[in-house]
Amino acid sequence: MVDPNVFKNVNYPASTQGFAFGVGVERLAMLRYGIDHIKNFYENDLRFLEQF
Amino acid sequence: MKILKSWLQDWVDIEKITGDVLSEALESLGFEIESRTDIKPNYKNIVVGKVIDIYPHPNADKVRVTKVDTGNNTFEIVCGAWNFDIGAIVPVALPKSEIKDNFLIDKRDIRGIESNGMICSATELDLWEDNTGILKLEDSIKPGTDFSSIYPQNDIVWEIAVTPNRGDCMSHLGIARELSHYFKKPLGDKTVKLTPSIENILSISSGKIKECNSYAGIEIENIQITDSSFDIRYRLSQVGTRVINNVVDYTNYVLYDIGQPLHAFDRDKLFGNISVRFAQDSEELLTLDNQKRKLTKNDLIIVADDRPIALAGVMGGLDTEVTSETTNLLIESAYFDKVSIMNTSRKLNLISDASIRFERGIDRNLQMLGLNRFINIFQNNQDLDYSEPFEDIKDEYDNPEISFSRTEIYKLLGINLQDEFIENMLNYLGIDYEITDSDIKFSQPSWRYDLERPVDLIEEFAKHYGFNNFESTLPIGSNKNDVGSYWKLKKYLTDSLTSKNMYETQTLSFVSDESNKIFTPEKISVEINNPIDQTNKYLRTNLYTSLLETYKFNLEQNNQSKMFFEINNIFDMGDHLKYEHIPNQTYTLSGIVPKEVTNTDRRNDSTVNDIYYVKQLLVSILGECSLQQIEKPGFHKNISYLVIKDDIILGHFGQLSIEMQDNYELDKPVYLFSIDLTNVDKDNLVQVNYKPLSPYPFVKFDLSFIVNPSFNSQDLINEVEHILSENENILTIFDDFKNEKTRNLGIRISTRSYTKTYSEDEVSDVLNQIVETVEAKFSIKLNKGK
Repeated sequence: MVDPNVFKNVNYPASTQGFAFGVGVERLAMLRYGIDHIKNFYENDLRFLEQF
Repeated sequence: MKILKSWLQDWVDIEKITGDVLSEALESLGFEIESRTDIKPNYKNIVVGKVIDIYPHPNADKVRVTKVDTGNNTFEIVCGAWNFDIGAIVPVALPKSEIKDNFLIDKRDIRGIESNGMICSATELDLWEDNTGILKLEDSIKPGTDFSSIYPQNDIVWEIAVTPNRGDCMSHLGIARELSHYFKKPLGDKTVKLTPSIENILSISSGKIKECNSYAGIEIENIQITDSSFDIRYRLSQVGTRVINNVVDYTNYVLYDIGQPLHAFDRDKLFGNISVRFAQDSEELLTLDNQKRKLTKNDLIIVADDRPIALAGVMGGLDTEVTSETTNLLIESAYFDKVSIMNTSRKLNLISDASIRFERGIDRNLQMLGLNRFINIFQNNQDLDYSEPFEDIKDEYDNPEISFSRTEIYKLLGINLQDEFIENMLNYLGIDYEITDSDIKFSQPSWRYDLERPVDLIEEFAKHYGFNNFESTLPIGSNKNDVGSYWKLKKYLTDSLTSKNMYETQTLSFVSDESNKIFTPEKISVEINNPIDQTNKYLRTNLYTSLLETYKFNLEQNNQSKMFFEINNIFDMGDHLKYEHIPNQTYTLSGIVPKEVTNTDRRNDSTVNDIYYVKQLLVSILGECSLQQIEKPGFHKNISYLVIKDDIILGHFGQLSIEMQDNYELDKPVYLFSIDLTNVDKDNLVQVNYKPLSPYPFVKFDLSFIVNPSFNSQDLINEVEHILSENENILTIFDDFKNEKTRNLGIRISTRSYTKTYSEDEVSDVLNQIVETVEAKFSIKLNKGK
């Protein structure tokens, strides 16, 4: 849950509330396509790039 | 932080719960699991033996021959360690057994005596690092016992991340408390009744400062410094702590057990009143690591009759440390202020398991339990004479009751909670409360600094209710948001360039300063304070080097010469456009276009690109631009141009210099381009100026001019277009011949009038007008040939 102090510091009204969570886009793509290693995204091997 | 299943079991009954279920519980309670290791002892043919005789080896003086009773048999084993005597209980690797790294042990002749196996050290059994000799086990273990059976079965180590607001979870007790509610199992109580048998010699005080709320101690006499018991050494080594000796191990044990840091002083080196105060600026202390530390008035220290003896909560002093000769102890158990410990620890760059816990805030009522646990564990190992524990406590903390309406829960979480759930959770977590039909009132336990407001407790409800147990619902309302100009531009560029057979890449922003200097020596690189990799500790000032690396990697690994681009930020120490105090970042598109692009179809011929192709590529995405030749580091002297649109320099392109081409060991030329996207507005790039089609026939002529080498051919086209602005024109450069002395530029002009068919005379008039105008304007000459 987002701490009320965070909203206060960015001048949001006191009634604001929220949940915060995040996951890297790489992780989502890995799940979607079954990619075995995150380093593939940054190695730029053509055999990888050509598949997308 | 590492936690051990068998250790948690001391506090809450989780023995029958599987590792997977426990992992899920930990994640659900907010502890991210970084790693999990299942410990499966796989000792075959390793048994416990008793040394019944030791005699010299007739042919070697560095080893001894032992007789070891292994229950059913007695074996003769040659041993090189000297740290044991007759009667020692030891692990024995019998013939045909395996030790660490699958090393095979078998009968072996050692200088004329057959050794029937090996007596092992802790290191050889892959337990923990110990170079002092063989592992000595408790006397109570029977010879012949399988070694695997004295080692915990099916134990699990988790490495978990504990968020900074949860100092109370930096121990097995803390985690067990969270699990106790998850599994609805009561939390154990480990307090034992102490039976003091000696009088206190020292007096202690928590000083006159509020930064030490409580200072407690216990004196212990006539102890023996030995190894700690096998179980303790096993547990400490599994959670990643070095085992040293019983006193040090037990203080560490209590820290991982309940989260209370302890410090052991050699009591015979202390005098008078032990107290706590802030240091004076001139004071010094020789710490355990043999470093003389200069103290300041912000450092909290422990003093004996006003003489500094330890840095409170951070590190002890060398003069009062426990050594192998120590026989009498003072064990300190204190509560120090978070901020003071953090300041000292950061200033001296000393971060210890104790300082981390003090910084996050330990339980302010835990000091006596810390001493109690220490005595309890030590007593299992040897008989002790100890004093009554003494504590000087100020307790200036008030514990206000926090009250809130139960409707707040629904407002924040969207669920209604049953009384039973609320009461259960608060009971298991040890939080005092009162519930009425409309309100919940609670007070913060001494270990939970994070529960300051109603919202903190409500979040606790959500966590223990289980985030997975909330029903999934779709967001309500219109979700037709505009993706915004940033994503529009990025998508436009990516779609345009990938449709031209370019591959998009993503590379890391960390590079070496030398790499930045190749193309952008004029920029000052941004240095990273905490680099992941010392060789790449700068942010990149351009995208060229990573594109070249990617190009070369694929050329070598895949034998493919292809075109790549990347859209990313580049950085330098210049002023940021919008914000003060942060380095400049420029959103940039860069690409690499090799002269020869590999084709994979059956022709196998390469597609050949030239610098004009690169220009066309840029025009296709940016619309018409003008160019200006410029010399740039890393680029070919003549083939290097600025890209200008509406009088703004958008970027640059050119051919990689021959020198750099050699450095990168590339056989064929490559072209590079880079566009600053700050000023690129996707909606105003390509403007279409429609010209109607003329019904009259065209006239066509080629003109060749002698120009100087730096002449910009676009200027010529623009001028001719200007002269023929009443007509429909197609103007192209068809020839650009250069040698050392001359440059010939050929322009092909195809033009139609909107009003008539040109006669021969009219054509020659037009021709003359063009030649005269451009000759005069650019000081160039028509090449009339021979």
